[in-house]
Formats: sequence, C-alpha cells, structure tokens
Amino acid sequence: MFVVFEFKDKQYKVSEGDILKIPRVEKLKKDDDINFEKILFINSDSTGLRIGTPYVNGVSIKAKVIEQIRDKKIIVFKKKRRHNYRRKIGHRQDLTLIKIKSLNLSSNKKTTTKSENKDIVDPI
Amino acid sequence: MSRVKAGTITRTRHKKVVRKAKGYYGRRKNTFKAANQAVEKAAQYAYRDRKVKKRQFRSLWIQRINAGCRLHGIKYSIFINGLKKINLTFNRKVLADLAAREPDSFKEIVAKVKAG
Repeated sequence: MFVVFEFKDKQYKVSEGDILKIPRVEKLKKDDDINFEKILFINSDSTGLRIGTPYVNGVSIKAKVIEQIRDKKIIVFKKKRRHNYRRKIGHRQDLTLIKIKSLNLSSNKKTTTKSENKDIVDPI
Repeated sequence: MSRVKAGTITRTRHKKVVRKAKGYYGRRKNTFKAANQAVEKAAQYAYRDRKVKKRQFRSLWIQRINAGCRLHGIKYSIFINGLKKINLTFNRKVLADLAAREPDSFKEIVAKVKAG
C-alpha cells in the first residue's frame, strides 16, 4: 500500500512509517504536524486504486516533523586552467526530516463520498 | 614567541590534500603534487556530474516508462501525450518507479490514458 503526493513541485511515493527529506519548511518545529493534500495516487488494500486528476480530493497525509536538518555538505569547486581561477564553496541544503504518520484515505467531505468505499474503516 | 618553521605549515597543508586522495592509483595517493591535481580534478568532475546525473536519471526513467508502456501496447510518446490530455501530472521519476515496482498500478494508469 502506498500513496503518491506532491509537495513543492516534487513528488514522493510513500507508505506509512516512511521517513523522508523534504525541502525546508521554515515555520515548523520538532514534533509539529504537517499535512499534505495534493495526493496524486492511492494504492490501498481497503479503498483500492485511485488516480487523481490531477489530485484526489478529500484525502490527506499526516506527517510529523522529526527534525530540521541540513543535508550533507557539497563542495562546489570551479577552476579555469591557465587563468589562475579557483573557487571553492561549501553548500548544505536546508531540509526537513519527516515521518509519515497516517494516511487518511476515507473521504471526509460530503462531495467526495462516492459508493466506491463503503466501509469507512480507516485503513490505518 | 617561539619560531614556527615553514616546513610544519607546509606539511599540514599537504597532508590535508593527500588524505583526500586516499585510495587513488599509484603516485596520486602518496605525493602532494600528483594528489593535489587529482583531488582538484575530482572536485571539478563532481560539480559537473551532479548536473549530468539529473539528465542520466531522466533518460533512465524514460526508458523504464517506455518498457512498461510497451507491455500494454502503447508507445512512450503517446502515453505522455495522453497523460497531459487528461490532466495527470505524474513526474517521470514516479512513473518509472510504478512501472518497475508496481506493475498493477502502472497498468491502471495506462488504461486510464488509453480510455482518454
């Protein structure tokens, strides 16, 4: 079972309990919750396959912030030979480390409750 | 104050570079001059190849998607065009992942594209 969602123009395929690095969200602190609502695709045992056009309405993913981190350092080194030109710059990308807590796949909103998911059992 | 001879400084500076050349071939791992050149060149390649990596992965994903599509009797180009037409915004990374690891899910997407 997995879900594909979009965040800041990047797409992630996740299942519950996954840990992933996303671009830094400044205002969040440790243990804060973050919701993702741009769900592109759901493959779930209870509700089956759902393809969003482009997004599936009324479902969300809840994740917890583990830590605000910086990625491994990258050394940017530029050199032009015979011109005495060397530049060395270190770079660390700001990221947020999150853990996927729950996938709320049963639609809460009236408009999206279709016949396709009769059982309202939350898959998680 | 006591005097620090130049050799000490030089040795520390050289050591720093030679350490980075650990595991290199031949003289490059032992002597400063060869090691320094090798380390600089490596850093230049690393900078360039971080960009090349993005292209190579994209082309790999396209190959995977194409292989997946052709299993269901549709070409890559037709498939991507179809995706756009019905307003699906999957990127190639995800599609390739689905094509390789989740054939059932991928099949559904292809079916949806075919249905138009």
